[in-house]
Amino acid sequence: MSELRERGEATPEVTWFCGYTPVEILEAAGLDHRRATGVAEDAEDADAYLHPSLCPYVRSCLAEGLRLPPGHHHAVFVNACDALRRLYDAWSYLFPESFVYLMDLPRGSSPREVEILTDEMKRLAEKLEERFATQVTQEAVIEASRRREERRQIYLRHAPKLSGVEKVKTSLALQSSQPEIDPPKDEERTSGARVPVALVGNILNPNGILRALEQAGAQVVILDVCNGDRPFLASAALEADDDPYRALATAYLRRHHCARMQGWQGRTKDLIERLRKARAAGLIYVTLKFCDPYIYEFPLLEKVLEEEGVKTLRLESDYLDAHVGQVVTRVEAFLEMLSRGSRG
Amino acid sequence: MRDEGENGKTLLEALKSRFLHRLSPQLMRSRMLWETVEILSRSPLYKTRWKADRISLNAFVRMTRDAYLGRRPVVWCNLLVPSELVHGSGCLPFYPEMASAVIASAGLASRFLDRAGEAGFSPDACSYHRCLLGAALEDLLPRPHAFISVNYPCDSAVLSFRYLSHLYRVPHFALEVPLIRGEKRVEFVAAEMERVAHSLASLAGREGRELRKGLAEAIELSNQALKYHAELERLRRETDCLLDGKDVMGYVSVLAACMGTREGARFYQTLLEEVTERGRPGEGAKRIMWMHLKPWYKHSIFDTITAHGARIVCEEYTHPYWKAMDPRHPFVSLAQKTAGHFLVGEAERRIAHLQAMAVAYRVQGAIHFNHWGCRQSCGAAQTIRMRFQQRGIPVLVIEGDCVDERELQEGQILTRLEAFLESLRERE
Ligand code: SF4
Ligand code: SF4
Repeated sequence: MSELRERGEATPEVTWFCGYTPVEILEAAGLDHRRATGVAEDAEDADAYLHPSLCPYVRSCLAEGLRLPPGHHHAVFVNACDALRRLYDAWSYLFPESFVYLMDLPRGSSPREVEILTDEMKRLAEKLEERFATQVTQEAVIEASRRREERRQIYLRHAPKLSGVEKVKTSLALQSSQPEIDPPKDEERTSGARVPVALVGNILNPNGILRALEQAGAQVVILDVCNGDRPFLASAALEADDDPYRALATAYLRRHHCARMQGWQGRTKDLIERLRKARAAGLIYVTLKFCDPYIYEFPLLEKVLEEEGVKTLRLESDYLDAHVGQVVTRVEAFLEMLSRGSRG
Repeated sequence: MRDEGENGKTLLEALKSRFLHRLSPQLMRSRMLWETVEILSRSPLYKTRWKADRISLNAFVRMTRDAYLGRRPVVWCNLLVPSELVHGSGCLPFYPEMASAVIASAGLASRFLDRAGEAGFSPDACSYHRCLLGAALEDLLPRPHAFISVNYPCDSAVLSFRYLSHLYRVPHFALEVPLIRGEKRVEFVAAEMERVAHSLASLAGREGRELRKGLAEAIELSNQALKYHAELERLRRETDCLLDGKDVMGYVSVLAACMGTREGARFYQTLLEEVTERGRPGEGAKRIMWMHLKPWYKHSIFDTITAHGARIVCEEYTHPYWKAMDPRHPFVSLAQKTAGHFLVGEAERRIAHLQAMAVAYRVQGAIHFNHWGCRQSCGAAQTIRMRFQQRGIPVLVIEGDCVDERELQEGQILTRLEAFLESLRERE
């Protein structure tokens, strides 16, 4: 049991935003944590602090932060992109009484970069200890990594049976410290003749484009997004004799990457292999607007995929996806083309 | 260079009318073109605002010619890559973001922006990068032998250079400045810079000793430029100075690409001498600070500022923020220069820097130009506005695009700008 719980104090909750947040350390500090989903309907509330050309996830998260009651603004940010760094700035300006922390994230996995991330993780642990008068022991970090691995195994067991919408919900739930997973609902299960596709992108609103494209007949066999399969693809379980911070830093920098990281060739190669294995007929690239890592990745990825004979469709989301009906026709046409291709 | 020459045309216009209809990758790499450019740029018909402008013009013509004609290995860099590193390694730095500014001032940006759009780049990305991508896709820029990006001020260069390194099939050195403070940060960046310098030196065929000598020389020259530049800024802080920020912003390319060259040092020396010589305007203009960069194409924003008795006395991007470097320790020195930039890390550093500048230059109002797609800068504009206002300095935030003139709602901007300038007058 953590010191906080032993002292009988209410467990503070820390919000986080990027999949590279070392939640093992938050758990080892005895804190609850959850990944922010943001309030897409209220993104405009962020206008007073964040420019409308920042990604709608970041803006929705600030809108959510503005609604939270005082004392609920502890947050750990990762320096993953310009938008997240600016969210950190606005958050620390608005909620100075809370624990608001920005952690760095190298882009590569060279020994020097592992060193940097190791230091960053240690520093985060020290800051948590200071702020919450608790101790982060190495054993607790290892223990937390095992709990996380259990949650990963749950995801891997469930995912093949789930629709894309359910996968996102399950993924999100399993990324927080207190996962509450509803049993998958029958009517959402994939059934009938569907076109298997891979979905690649950043963050999806489970009730937005994703739902629409499943309704249009897509069967999402790969969900390579931040709130889908990606966080669960590689294990970061630590061994008892590991130097936990170094081992964790290495695991985080070597895992399956998002578009922001270096090693783009590796990411693409890996994606193509998974595509083949899952027999995906095509790839749908769904990204939130204004997200530079994905804006700059797409033209290159599309070219490489074309050379590999993989058809792609690009869709953009404003995270709210209120006008999603407009994309259905495009999705249907794309799926139709894919199924003609597989028949021919 | 804006001043008129032959038949009332500017140099850029003269070049456009002679060559635009024949613009092609071959033309850009032809000796004939560069001979003509050199002759025209030296012609007394084209007058410059300051004598120093002639020095920077000649330097850019020489460097760009050499880059196109492949006389030295060309290294594409983003703004925070210290040019001393590249010059010292025997290569030629090329700052394609600055090339976008030149393309925009020649009124040619829309063609390349559209080209980038056709290649799949969303119009939501920064137009400096979309423009350079479009020009690169048409093979109209000097072909690179390597790329260096620094992960600040923004993500754009790291990402667009990744694409371009694939396109040109040459290496991309992605330098990372970590967030950690102090010695360790500098050590890390210095080690990375050393690694990169060795790769560049081998491209240029430089030996170890030659590399050390080249870097020491580049740093000495950069220090000389800094000395004159710092003195110039002292004048601008303490007096009503003739040098207007609207022109100084154009020197961002000198500050990026010419540090570490003789011309860089001569440029600031000559500018300082002339500014001192010409004396003060003595008009008691309202003192304005400009944040982020200016739109490079034709517009009336600056004329409006001047017409309202105001003057831009300092600008964010052309401020010499770093200290003199030690030529005996080139990598540590250059790492300190890059890592010490106020745009590295949290917005708090940028804000503290800008507030200190505002006090030092006694500014009475500030303008933040929100360049569309620049997340790092626009993302902090509102916080800057609030923080400046707490100190009693009003800030006007203008929305626009530095490169794409189709995105500038000039009428709306001028109305707001005039109201802002009026309100400054009323505060007297
Ligand atoms: S969606 Fe893109 S811009 Fe938004 S936080 Fe994620 S990486 Fe950053
Ligand atoms: S304008 Fe902003 S986004 Fe564009 S290159 Fe400059 S710093 Fe980067």
